[in-house]
Amino acid sequence: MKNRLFFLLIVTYMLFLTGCWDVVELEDRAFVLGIALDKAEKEEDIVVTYQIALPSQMFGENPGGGEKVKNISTVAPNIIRANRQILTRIDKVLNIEHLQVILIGEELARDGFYKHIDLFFRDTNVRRKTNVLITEGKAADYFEITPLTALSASQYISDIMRLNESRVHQVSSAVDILKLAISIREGRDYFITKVSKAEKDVVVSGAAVFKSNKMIGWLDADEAGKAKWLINDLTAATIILQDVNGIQGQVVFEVQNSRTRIKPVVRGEQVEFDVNIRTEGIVVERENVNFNVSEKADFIHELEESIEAKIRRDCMEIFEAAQKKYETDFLNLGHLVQLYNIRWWEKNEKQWERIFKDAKLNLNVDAYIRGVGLTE
Amino acid sequence: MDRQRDMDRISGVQVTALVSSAVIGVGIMSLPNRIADQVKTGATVIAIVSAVMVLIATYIVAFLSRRFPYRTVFDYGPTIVGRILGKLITGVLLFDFILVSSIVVRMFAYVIKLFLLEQTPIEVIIISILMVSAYLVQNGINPIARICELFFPITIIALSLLLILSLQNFDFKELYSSWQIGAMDLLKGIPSTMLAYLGFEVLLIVPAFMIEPKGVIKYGITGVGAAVVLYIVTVVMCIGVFSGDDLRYLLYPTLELAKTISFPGAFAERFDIFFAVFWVLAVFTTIAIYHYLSAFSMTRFFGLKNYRPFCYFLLPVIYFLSLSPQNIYQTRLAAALVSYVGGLVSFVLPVVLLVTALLRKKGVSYREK
Amino acid sequence: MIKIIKKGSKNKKEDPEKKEQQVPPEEKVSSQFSKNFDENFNKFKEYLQSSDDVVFRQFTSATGVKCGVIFIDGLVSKELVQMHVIRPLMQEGQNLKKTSQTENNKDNKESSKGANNDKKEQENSGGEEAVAFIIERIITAAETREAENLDKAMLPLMSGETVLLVDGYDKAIIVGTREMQSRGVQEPVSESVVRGPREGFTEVIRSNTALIRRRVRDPNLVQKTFTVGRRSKTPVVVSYIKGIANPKLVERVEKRIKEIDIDDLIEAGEIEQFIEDNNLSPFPQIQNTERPDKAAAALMEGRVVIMVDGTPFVLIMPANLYQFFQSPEDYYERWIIGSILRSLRWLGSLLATFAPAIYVAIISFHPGMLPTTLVLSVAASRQGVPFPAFVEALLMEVTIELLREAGARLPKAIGQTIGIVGGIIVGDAAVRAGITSPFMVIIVAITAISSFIIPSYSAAIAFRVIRFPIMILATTLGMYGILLSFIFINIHLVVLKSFGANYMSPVAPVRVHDWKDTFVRVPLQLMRRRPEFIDPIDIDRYRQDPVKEV
Repeated sequence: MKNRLFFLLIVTYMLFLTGCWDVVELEDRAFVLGIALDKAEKEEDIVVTYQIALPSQMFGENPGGGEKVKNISTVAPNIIRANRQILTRIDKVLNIEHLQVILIGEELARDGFYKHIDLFFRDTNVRRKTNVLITEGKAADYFEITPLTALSASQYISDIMRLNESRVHQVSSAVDILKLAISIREGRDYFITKVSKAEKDVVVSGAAVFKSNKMIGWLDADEAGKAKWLINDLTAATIILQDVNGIQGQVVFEVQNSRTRIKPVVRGEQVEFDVNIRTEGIVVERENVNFNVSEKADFIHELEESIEAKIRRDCMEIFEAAQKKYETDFLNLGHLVQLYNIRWWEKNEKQWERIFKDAKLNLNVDAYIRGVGLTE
Repeated sequence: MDRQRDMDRISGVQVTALVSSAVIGVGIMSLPNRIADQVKTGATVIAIVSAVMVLIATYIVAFLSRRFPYRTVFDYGPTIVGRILGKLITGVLLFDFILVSSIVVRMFAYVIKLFLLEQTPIEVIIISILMVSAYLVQNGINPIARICELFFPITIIALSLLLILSLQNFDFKELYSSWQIGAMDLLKGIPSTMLAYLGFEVLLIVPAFMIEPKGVIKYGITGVGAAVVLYIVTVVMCIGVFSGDDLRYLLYPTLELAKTISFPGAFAERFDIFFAVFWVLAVFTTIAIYHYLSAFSMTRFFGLKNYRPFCYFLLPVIYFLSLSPQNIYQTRLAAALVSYVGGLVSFVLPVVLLVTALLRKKGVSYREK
Repeated sequence: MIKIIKKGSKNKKEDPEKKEQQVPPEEKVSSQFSKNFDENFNKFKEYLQSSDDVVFRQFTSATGVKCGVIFIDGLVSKELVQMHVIRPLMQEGQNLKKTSQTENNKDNKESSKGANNDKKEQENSGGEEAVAFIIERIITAAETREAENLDKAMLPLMSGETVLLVDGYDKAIIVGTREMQSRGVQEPVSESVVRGPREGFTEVIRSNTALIRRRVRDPNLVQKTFTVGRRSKTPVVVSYIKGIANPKLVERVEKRIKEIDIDDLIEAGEIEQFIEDNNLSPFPQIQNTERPDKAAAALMEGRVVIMVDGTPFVLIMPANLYQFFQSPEDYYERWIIGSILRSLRWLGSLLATFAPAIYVAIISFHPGMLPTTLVLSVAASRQGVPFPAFVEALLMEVTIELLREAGARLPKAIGQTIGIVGGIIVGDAAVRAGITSPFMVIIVAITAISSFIIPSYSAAIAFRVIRFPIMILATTLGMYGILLSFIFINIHLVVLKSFGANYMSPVAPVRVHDWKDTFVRVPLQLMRRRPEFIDPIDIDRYRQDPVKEV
């Protein structure tokens, strides 16, 4: 009997749950697809631009007319205040669960944006895959671009990152909130993907280098590619060889997979990095190069050697650039040292910058050409 | 039909499910964070060592229970150490169970509020879970065991899925440092970690309901073992994905782990909500078990038979207790306090009881077969 | 129909004795028969004269003894009465002595219903030898028995047997002459299968018991009759296989049946409500079926079957949750198909129960769970919808339920069409008018279709019903609310028992052996034992020798 009484009690209780505190109907939500941060006139302020989706324009019965997104800007000392200010101007509730991308303007990046971004780390609603990019010029401008193949600039950029970052080695590796959070919290130096404008489009290539949370320079597309060789496991890249062994013409080699293994070796205060790169791929294009039957095996060997040489050169260049030109370990090699030699790291962490400048790189590259496509 | 029906008895498999469910609860949400809080490196080592120690403690408790078949610690406590001390033991246990219930409810409600229901008053969440718990607990240990049997595989599968899926972000190199640890650090880290594995003290009471008490050691160790393995793997995965030193900033690494998962087809996002759902099942079982144990100990403390009124009486008690910490830091403090009481109950008490029992030759030995 | 129903089932402390304490209406007249034919005959007439379908036929036997038959037209085979009762008496009674003092030698032919077997002691002289002679030599009907008083003669008379009164004998002879119009064995309406027998039970209990006997030719099959209902006196047959079914179960069933105190029993469902363990629960604890093959299989498992005269639905107990997902086809087709179908049913029921609630939760609470493009698409389609998701869902669900109920009443041909047309038109119009979004219509359609996938109508209703509270919880507490209701329902199911067997067995408590027939169906070769949760006495299906074991 008690069983039933209790059952009824619970049923009645349910009826009293009349306050649905968390209910926000779907059409009352404003989905923020992208946030752009720029430097404002006043020192303490930033310009926050929100790109808000207009679903009925995107999918509704009358597409093509009008804007698919709405961009709103406001000036505030931090993002939270900006959120509040926006809410006074818009008839919906902001929802950042679908935030695709965070764009940071160049000027703000040079000043250091890290203090504004902490909120994204704490909020439970932000997706960890949200990409962060540094823009050439003002970030807010990038939201004005209406891409033809995507519904909004934010999604456009994030789709490029999602699909093509692994296919092209000029697109610097994606930095998502998670990685950025770790880098900032651990006080490391890092580099973030760069996006620039080109006519009516955006170009995602290259990267911005950060030292002590302030931007100090750009890596162009090639340099970004070299960085990827050194520290990433590439999934795709192309190498163009010119005039191999005196024979005229270009040969293009496409990497199908590649593996980089870096092992730091510490001796006293010296650090050496033993790098092992192993890459496989096929030849996709040649120009005026003859493959004679008898020469095939040798020729491939020569091609491979050329490839290896090029990779070695590239990696060395970027390494030295990090050491000398930027004087900062944005490639995050320090973390590797920490992982392999925790004791040494604990003692020498403070001097890492100095030690890094004198670090050496030992490269060992193996390239394998597995095939040449469909034709000889 | 069911022999179980008339006597509120449970089977061995149900004991495994019960113990496992009691251990897997709120702890799994924040364990990696707590370890990282204490030590810079060597988290994996700490996790494993603590696990081993917990298994040993489980063995001790199970062994103790086996010596007194069909009797709970409230029965054999007085037998071993006399009536007054026995009453004291009952009181301490009662105190511990109520505290654990409250703190688990509180932490659970807080996580729900954080991830699922931001605006809902925490009182509503607490009341709702307590009422469902009461609905279950009023029927005795058998339905609780059955619910554990039901939910346990679901929880295990969901958690395993989480761990397997986060392999895509897993970087094995991050684990290198977690193997190296100094002795001092080890000693520092173990106490707080071991207490996240609490839950096996239910074996002080639950085996009394078993049909065949002989197997309690086997079933108990299996249950705790499964839970412990899950915890260790979770710690490993968290380190691998988040890098050991960042863990101290992440308060709920397990759910963060879920956040990092992405399916290639992307048919669903926000997996943390998805996994939070399964986690709720695991925590619910923990809450229900401790709720039952509180009611049961209270009944025995007052020497009464019917525990049902206590089951309801405890609801407001647990409710108010769970609301007493005012913020997250007080909650953690309270959790630490509770874990020390729990540690006393789970580690110290059984050893004392067992040693005394052996010395005074109380209880049944299984040597003669 | 206003019924006088006394509270039956659980709290019943009264026992069958009480029944006899009450004064049955017949007792107003002394029910003992006398030796005088006219007296006896008139006793019947007093009760039954006002009904024209009761036939009173008085005649004299060939030897001059006054006899009479009483029967109810429409319930008897007149042919039988004429040829095998009246004719022999009238024409061939030469050897009948006129004397009224003779000894009696009772020789009752056993009818399969179980007759009153009175044994030899007779102090009363008078026509007994004659009667014995009548029964043994003259009445050529297959079944006869005797009734000492009016009370005992009434029920058979009302059921279609013929009462034969002989002057000088103080008992009535009941001759089995039943024949009534009935539907005949047809395909069961509510449970048709693609592959399998197409026989269904009918309303005549005797043919139902025969249908079962045909499938279980085991002499251990017991079929016991009870009478339930004071005025309706409906025969109820409890059937089980002795040696397999657990005697405790049988005892429990019989006890609960005897405790039913009601004046009118029409359908098996009423028995179900009286004897089930928990009538507050939406989940049925007793299975019902129209199919003899299902009933026979249940008997083989060690369960008990109850048949009620006047309805083709029989009851099977004990039941657990997973049995409501079993359909006979699962067993007649090969095991892979059976398993896939079974799993599909589970998926369907989950969908049917939780889909609308999950929709409400995701739309109103956690739009982050859907991929971005999908969310934006749904948001676009919801522009202009004035209601919150919950109201929208509720409206559509209620509409579907209305359509479904209405469709059930319509004649076959029109029903299907109206259902489909109604659904399409209403759905489309609702979207057009902006009352709902197309997404909701899809969800509702999937829910409706999924709920048809559950083979048992009673169980399907359970899932349909609980959908609504879950929706309410979803709208107040989102996914957490759905979760709470999931836990709550599981607790309820776990505590529920059906005649002592756990409702959620074999999942909780775990009986691994029974899993062979729950979510999948393993090959028949592997199903060597009967389900454990019923606790049958004899668990092996193989190597049985029923006759020898008796």
